[in-house]
Amino acid sequence: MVTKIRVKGKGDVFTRLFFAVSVSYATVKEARMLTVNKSRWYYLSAMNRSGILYAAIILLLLSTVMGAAATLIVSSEKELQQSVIALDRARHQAIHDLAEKKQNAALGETQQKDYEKFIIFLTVKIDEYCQQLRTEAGDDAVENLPCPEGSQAFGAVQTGSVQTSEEQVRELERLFSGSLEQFDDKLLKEEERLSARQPRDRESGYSYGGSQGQDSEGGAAGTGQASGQDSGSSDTTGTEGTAGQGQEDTEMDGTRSAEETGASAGAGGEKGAETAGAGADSGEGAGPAAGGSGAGQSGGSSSQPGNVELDTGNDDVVARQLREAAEKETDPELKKKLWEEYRKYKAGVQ
Amino acid sequence: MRFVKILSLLLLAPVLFAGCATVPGKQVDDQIAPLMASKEFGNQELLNVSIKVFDPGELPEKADEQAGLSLEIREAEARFIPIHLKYSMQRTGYWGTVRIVPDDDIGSEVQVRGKIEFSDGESLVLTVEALDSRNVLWFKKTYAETALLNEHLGTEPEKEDTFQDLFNKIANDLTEYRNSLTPDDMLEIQRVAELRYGQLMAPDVYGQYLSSDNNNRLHIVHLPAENDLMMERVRSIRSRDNMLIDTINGYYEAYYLDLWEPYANWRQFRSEEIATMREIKREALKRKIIGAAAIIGAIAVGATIDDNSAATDTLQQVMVVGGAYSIYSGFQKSQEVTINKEVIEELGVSFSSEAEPLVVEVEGETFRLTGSAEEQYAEWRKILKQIYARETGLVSDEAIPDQSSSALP
Repeated sequence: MVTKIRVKGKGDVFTRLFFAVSVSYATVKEARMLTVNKSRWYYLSAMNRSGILYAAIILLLLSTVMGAAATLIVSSEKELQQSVIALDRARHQAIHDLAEKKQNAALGETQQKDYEKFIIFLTVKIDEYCQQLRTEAGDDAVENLPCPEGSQAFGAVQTGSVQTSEEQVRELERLFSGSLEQFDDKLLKEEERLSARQPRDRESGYSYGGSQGQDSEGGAAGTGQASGQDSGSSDTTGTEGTAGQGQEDTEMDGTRSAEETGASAGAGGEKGAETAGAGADSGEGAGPAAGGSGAGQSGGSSSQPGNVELDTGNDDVVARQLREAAEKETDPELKKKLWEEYRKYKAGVQ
Repeated sequence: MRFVKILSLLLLAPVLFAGCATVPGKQVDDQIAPLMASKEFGNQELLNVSIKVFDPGELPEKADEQAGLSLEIREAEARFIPIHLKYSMQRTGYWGTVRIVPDDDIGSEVQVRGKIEFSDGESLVLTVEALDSRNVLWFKKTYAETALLNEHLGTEPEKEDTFQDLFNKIANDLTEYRNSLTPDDMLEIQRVAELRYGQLMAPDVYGQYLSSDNNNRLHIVHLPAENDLMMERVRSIRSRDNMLIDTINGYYEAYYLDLWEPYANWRQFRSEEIATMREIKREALKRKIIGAAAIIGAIAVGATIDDNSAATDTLQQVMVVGGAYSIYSGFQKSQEVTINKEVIEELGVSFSSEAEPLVVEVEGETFRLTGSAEEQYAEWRKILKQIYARETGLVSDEAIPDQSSSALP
């Protein structure tokens, strides 16, 4: 006869499995699980010997398959928990810094917005991981973590505090303006992309197979290009943009940003090297790149795929703050997590 | 002799009408000057216009008329024409920002839609309608123009198109309607446009601010307060939306410039070929008819003159031989028509292959941008909804944003 059992808490995967299998294959009169000094005890009574034997064989077979999976689940869960803790610490630090600088009036409007944007980013990320933890491992997985209540995902920002409606609205306002700014950044990139677009190359010629087409080709091409440039400067109402003007701007911007990127990437690389040294405990990934020494070399080539994490020169607000938070973090595990977030963010932006 | 005259007239009649081009719609006048603003208007007098990418329409049903035309060309024209209309309108100084939109623009103050009824390079026929944010239809008209050969010369991007008279006529009709509006009308159009966009982004808040009558005409019921924070948020989204459309317009403008040369060439060469073909057809028909008339005349001469003199015989023989030659050369001309038709077909294929990748490119960019923006707008709508819920205390499950679709990476 199988007795209904109820396993409270997370428990250990193996123990719970063994408990369940044993109960299924044994004749059980009583099955209890006790927690004594934070250790769980699984108590079975009146179990016959053959039941235990079957349970042991099945457990042996299952353990080979389940072992790896269970380890992965636990490992992934722990990783996420650590990420939440690391991000929350960075958030606390940012909130603290922001309050302090506000008090000392040491912040410009832009800097303040940058801080807020960063805090919003951290909040959203924490919420995301908490949600993932809840989904994958249940509510118990977020116990003692700075996760918002299920129904207040965006609302509860500060750990352990219940926000008023006004605070929640303010928080949403920040989220909204942060999102608008991000959209602005995207639009800016789109504008750059558009400006970089070259007029279609007509070198291949446009011929209808007759001499007429060839004769007039050059003239028409000339007209098109001349007007393109013309339109750049003559448009007054302004939609505005025009190919001619845009191109000129891009070329200038491109040159400037390339120089800046090159220069600051070198600095970033040095920082990366330093950080890698400082965080040697974690073994790997303690800097923006696994190999800190390489950062300076490749920092200038931001367009190269795969080197995203090395290019610290063109960090936006969130990336820069994440990098700084990672650099300041003293706990090697949390430092590693913050660098991971930095790399993920950079990859996402790219 | 009277019989011969009547017969000759009947035979020559088709020659007189042969090759006359017939396109649907009333032709616009020649040399139409654009109406230009004589002063600079303030913001309240400048209405923003959204021109939707035109409906490419359908190709002619008759196989003969389809020669050298293709859907690819129509697709290209459906983008090219509104862009040139935009430039034509912008120059007048009567309008705010004129934008090309890939689809209906709900928050627009004035929306222009069009359909290509006919286009073969030589003639262009468009149906254009304009309506404002209140759903008041300004007009719906069909415009036609058959370009003269010299109108294909001296064209210039943004400024002077082959069918510039037609573009000026449309722009002038829009301006005339705009000039008939009172300042109150313009203000109402601007406010309704804003509220319609508000309804789109925050329906919970602005859902009841407009009402529509039996004609679907929208009326303002409430106006938001001057310091309405939610409207400020909506405006900030609207300005982003406009910037996005401006970016898309950048692609359209680049597309227009890329297409200008091959499209101008195609229209010019095609018009020349069509004119030549029409001339050859007329000539061929004339020769055939003259030939036939000469033979009939010879028979008539034989029938009416009883004199069997050598002179009469010679005249008859000359007429018959001359008539036969005319008919023969008429058929030769017909063969030239076939050659020209093939050239026109070739022009069409060549231009299609040039225009198609341009259309694909601009459409690809448009889809990419609008697609990613749609997600962003959905996110903003959720946030606005949640802010409204929090501000009013009307918290609902629906108002809780979905974490997975966060705007932040």
